[in-house]
Amino acid sequence: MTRLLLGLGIVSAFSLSTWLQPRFAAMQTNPNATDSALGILMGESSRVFANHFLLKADAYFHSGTYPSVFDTVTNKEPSAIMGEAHADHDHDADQVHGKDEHDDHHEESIYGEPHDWIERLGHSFIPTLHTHLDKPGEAREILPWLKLSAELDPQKITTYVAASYWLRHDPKHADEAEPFLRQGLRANPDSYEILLELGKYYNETKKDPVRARNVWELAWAKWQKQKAADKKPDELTGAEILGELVKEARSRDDAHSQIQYLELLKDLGFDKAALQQQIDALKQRSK
Amino acid sequence: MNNIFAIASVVLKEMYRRKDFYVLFVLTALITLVMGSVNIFNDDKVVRYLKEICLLLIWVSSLVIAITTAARQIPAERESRTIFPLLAKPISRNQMILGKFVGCWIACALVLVVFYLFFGVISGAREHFWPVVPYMQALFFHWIFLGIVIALVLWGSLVFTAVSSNATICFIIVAGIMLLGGHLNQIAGRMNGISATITSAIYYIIPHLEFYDLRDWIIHDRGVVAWGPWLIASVYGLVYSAIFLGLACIAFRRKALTL
Repeated sequence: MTRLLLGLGIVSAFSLSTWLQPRFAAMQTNPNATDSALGILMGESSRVFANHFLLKADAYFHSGTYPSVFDTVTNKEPSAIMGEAHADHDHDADQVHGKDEHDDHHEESIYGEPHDWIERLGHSFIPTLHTHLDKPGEAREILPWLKLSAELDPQKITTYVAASYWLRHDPKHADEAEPFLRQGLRANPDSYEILLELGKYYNETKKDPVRARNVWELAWAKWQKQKAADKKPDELTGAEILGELVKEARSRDDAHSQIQYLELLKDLGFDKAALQQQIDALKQRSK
Repeated sequence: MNNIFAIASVVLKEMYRRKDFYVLFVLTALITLVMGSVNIFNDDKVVRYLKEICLLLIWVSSLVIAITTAARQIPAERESRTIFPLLAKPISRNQMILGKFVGCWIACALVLVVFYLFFGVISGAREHFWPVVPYMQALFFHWIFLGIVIALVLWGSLVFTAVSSNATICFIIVAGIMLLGGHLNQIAGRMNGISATITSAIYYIIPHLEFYDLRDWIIHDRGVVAWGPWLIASVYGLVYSAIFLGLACIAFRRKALTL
């Protein structure tokens, strides 16, 4: 009798689950939605908090030294953590020339001379020296805020790119970058910035240039699509995508592709004379 | 002096009979532990966000305890009419105010010791190092801050009629000073005329409570705070506590206690 009841229970539970599953799926308005519970609960205000947490990540990167709205005349998006990400390629060039402008500000107070004794005393109790979390593994401290910012505003592309940059530069966490970028891509399928970063992940971390090239080509196609739709895509990022494609073609010694990408880069209006020189040299070589 | 400590001991006993501290401590511990269990890219060494959340909860909890405890001291004595036998004994009004202040301040010290011990254990368990001296400096600064707040609230309880209005106004004043107090000179610098003068005067008159907020210092492991400025700020805080206590004593002496 017990076995019979148990069997009946299992069969009933299975039948109920098959009956409920399609109904629950139909109740979900958008099965591919990427909004978190926190984002849904907070509504539009979540975007304000997302920006606040992005600023918090930037403040953490500078070890707590960060100007308030009263100390700064502009109230723009944080540039430092992104600056590091964008300066990725420029950094090598700077080192060749023996300079690193960002490093020039290290170990300096960002607040300047105090106006009075109260301010002078107050500066003794807040971090005022401009330092970075640049020792190995230290940058992990900014990640909770970037993750929270992405939860609150999945459409904020900066968050995914910055988090990925720091993740892939930490050997222990490099593999975490891909799922996070994919999460960003699901929320922003047309983002050429995320695709550019994903390409860098495949090229630099996974050492898979073929896959990287495919991703960058997709990024360039998305960029062009936005240009055609008059959405004013960022020209600097467009140039960076092409730059990566040129470098990748150079590593394969593919002069034809290099010329093709350099022509596109020239069309963007960056240093036309120098680019033409490179194109001519490549044409000469391939003859 | 004995009279002051006798009143202070009554405040302390009342404090541990009430449930405010236990509830706030359990909430702080619970939220911190839940936040600590969040998976951040599979890295269990990320600690600064946890320190930030824990310290924020400690600051909010201690402020709530200090303001609500101090705000009800004198009004409760008046409502229950125990103030009359108290003052009929050889206790002056000044001693009563001082006794209430000392009681609240010591109660806050005990609360802070428990909170900071919890904070030290949580951060130490992740970081694997215990910067004891900076933590002690932060705890002492926090205590000085609460001393100013308690003195201000005691004065407020003699100026405002209801406990709720006093507590609300004090919360707003403290939050306002913490957020804007240190920037009033910059705001005044961008203004013209009489408004600039008034803003500037407020800047120099108010107690700069933001000095005592060492959270960023502790979160970002900036080491030991220079002892010179630390000592000056401590004396500065004690002077403001004394000023507010003096004002409370004057207000209490002038106050008619008839119901």
